Amino acid sequence: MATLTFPLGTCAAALGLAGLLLGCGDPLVDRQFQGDPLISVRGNVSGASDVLPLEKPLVRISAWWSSVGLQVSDYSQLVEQPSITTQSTVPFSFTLNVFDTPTLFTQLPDGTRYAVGSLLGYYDQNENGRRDPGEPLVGNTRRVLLYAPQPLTISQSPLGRALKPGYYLTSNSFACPSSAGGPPPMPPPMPPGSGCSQKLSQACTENADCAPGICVRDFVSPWPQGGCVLPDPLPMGCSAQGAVRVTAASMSDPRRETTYWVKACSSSEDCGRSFPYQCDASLAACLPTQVVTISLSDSLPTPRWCRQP
Amino acid sequence: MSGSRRQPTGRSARSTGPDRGKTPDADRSDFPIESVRGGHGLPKPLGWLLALWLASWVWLPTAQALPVQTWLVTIGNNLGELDELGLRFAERDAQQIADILRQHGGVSSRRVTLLLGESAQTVRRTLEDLNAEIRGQVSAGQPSALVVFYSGHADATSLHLRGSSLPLDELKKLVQGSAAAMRLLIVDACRSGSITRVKGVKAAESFDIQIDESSAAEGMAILTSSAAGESSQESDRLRGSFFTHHLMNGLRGAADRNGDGRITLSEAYGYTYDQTLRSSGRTLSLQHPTYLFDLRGREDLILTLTDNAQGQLSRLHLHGRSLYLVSEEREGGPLIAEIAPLRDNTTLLLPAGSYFVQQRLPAEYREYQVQLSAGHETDLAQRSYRSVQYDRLVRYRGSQKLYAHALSLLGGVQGALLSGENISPQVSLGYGLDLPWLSLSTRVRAGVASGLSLDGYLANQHTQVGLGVFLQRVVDLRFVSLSFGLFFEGVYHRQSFSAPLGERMTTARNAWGMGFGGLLALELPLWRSLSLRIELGPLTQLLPRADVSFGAQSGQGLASPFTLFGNGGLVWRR
Repeated sequence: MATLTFPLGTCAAALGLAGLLLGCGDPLVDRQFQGDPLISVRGNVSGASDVLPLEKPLVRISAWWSSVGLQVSDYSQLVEQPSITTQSTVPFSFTLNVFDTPTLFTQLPDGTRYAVGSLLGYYDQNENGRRDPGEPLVGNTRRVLLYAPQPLTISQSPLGRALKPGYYLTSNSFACPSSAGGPPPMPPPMPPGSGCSQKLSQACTENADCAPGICVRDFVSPWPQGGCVLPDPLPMGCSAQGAVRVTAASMSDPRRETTYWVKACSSSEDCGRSFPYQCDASLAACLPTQVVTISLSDSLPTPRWCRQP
Repeated sequence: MSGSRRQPTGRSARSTGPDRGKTPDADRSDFPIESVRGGHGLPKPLGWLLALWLASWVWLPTAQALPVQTWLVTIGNNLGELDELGLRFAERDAQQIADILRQHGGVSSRRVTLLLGESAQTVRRTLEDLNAEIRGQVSAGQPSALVVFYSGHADATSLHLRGSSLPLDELKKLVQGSAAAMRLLIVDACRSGSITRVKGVKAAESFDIQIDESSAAEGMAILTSSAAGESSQESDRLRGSFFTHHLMNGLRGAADRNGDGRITLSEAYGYTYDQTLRSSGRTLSLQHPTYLFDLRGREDLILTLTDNAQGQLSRLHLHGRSLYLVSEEREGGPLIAEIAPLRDNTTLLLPAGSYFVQQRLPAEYREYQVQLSAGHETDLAQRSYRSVQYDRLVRYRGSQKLYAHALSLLGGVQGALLSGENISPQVSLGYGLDLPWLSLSTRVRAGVASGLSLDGYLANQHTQVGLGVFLQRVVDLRFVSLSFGLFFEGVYHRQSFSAPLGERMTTARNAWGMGFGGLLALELPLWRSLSLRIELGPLTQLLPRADVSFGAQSGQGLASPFTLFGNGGLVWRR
């Protein structure tokens, strides 16, 4: 079947000539079309793993959902959803459009459901599109996928914030809810002082650009074009107005934590930055967490989807 | 009818036509004069009314067969003067007239003289010798007849016979001077043309045998193929002249108006007049046969008997007054008779053999293949026939149908328009008009294709509903009709989705497109008005199509996918 494709302008011209309302309406789709995405996740896969064949180091990335909520301590607690997947040869960047709702949910005593998961990479040795026993996990990320099928109140939300229905991609730097299942502990009270948040989240090249704040390039995730944050404790005379205190493991040394004051937001538009910056739903803070970095490793660290208080 | 009234003594008849500026009333007032010549532009029934009038008013009530002592001279010459284009069928016509009068009229072969391609001198000497022979053999008051038939070139004054001339007056006197009690002179003289040759000579002159009242001798009858100023024509299709062709068919039985099995001179003339006028009406100029009779005191002359089948002849019974075309052996074979019977039941005498008979009814053609055996009768109504489809009838353009309605119900398949779709089944319902040169139709088509996304998680059902206009040119072959054409179609598309492996939700898509294509079709008549149709062709559609990236729509444009389709089904015509 031979096909010619014309740009939309040609369509309009053709219609004008024909004088007919033909060739119009919703564009039809072929086999490439998989649906209307509920969320689009962009990311990259980097690193190396000895289990991957050198000649064709294929890594499949797919979504895995937790059967125990955020309290994940082992990969066996995760279930793969093969319909949310992509595959390529390392290293690669990917765009993973998520067309399906999760297949595994966490249910609260009041019947409320939500799903939490993450993206994992594995070697799909038989290339059947799903992980079979014996196929090794080779990569994970610090991002968390959360899906709310219905509105979640603060008490129902695992993030401790009210959520609208839909998918969320967040960092794993938010405080874990209590083991009893309640919401995460409230952040400490804000110190008094004048606002120093005017430059927060702005692009920067050096600390002077952010004074009295500092310019960071790696915090939670790489910060393209840098970003202004306030150190913790806050500089003299600054208050926490318009800022959120975020503590995250260092990217270079996961055992070491760093804390900054980041611009507070209620939506990504508040951040004034383009991809990968977003208003991270878990912290209500402007962070470059819209991109997923899958780090390959021969021995994956224990999964940790939230920060233990 | 003929012979029901006696002719007033001493009266004969002569025709004048409306073209001479007379009203019908004026014509009627002219009839009682002594000689009658067939007029121009007579409507078809008038020829027969004229003949009936002659039979009932001029002649005696009972007809008589050609006497045993009947001499027949048929003269045919394809060549006239040097500057005249040769005719093709004049000699053949003379031969066939001789055969028919011998076989159907009972004329003894011993008294038949056939002069083909002979000079005027030979014709003259033959007639003189024959007159002497007749004088020697016929006693006074003994029934006898002389029939002279001529087919060839002529002008207003003479016959043209291979570079020589025989003055018409001389010919007339030779016949008139015969001692036979009944003398019949039939002249089919023509000019030359291309496809339909025109007998005669120069267009400015007229062929007119110029027999006036005073020249009409008692016991004399003259038939001519055309009126003064008219051309006589011969036809390739009929393989003879219009006049002689219809005269022969009349003598074979088609002219038997009263169904008594006897073809009289008046019946033969009336039939020949009507049919020659009808046939010539399709050509450049009308041709009105003329006659002059003075058979005072004599009965109408029976020329042939349809129950007189002898030797290798066979009777073919025709039913209905529609036109019949009889061809030798098979469809497309030489046409030997174009007949329009005057009665519902007509018997035609034909030599034994195989024939293809086409009966042209107003709404259908019936085609028969018959085998006639010598001495046997064949009733066409008892034979099976093939009905010619209505669309063919329209395309033949010889019928009364100007168009035919067609309803079609077709099922088939269409190739994939979008990648990942299966070949889709489709059904269409159509209405069309078959016109002589073109078949126009409109169709409503519905088809459903299904497909699966690359990841296998999204199934789609692509429904198309189209309204199209089809233009086709049809070529009729012997058993099937082939057609080729183009179509244009407005198409409504709807894609609805389902998730066979999950709960993936996607909204349905609705779009309008336009299709163009060609088609090649074959139709095979099945039964009566029903045909089997098979068609296939390429098509392309102009439709909006999404650009897809990572499984999701990233843009849109117009696409023109190319594919094939094939349909089969039934077509019903009326």
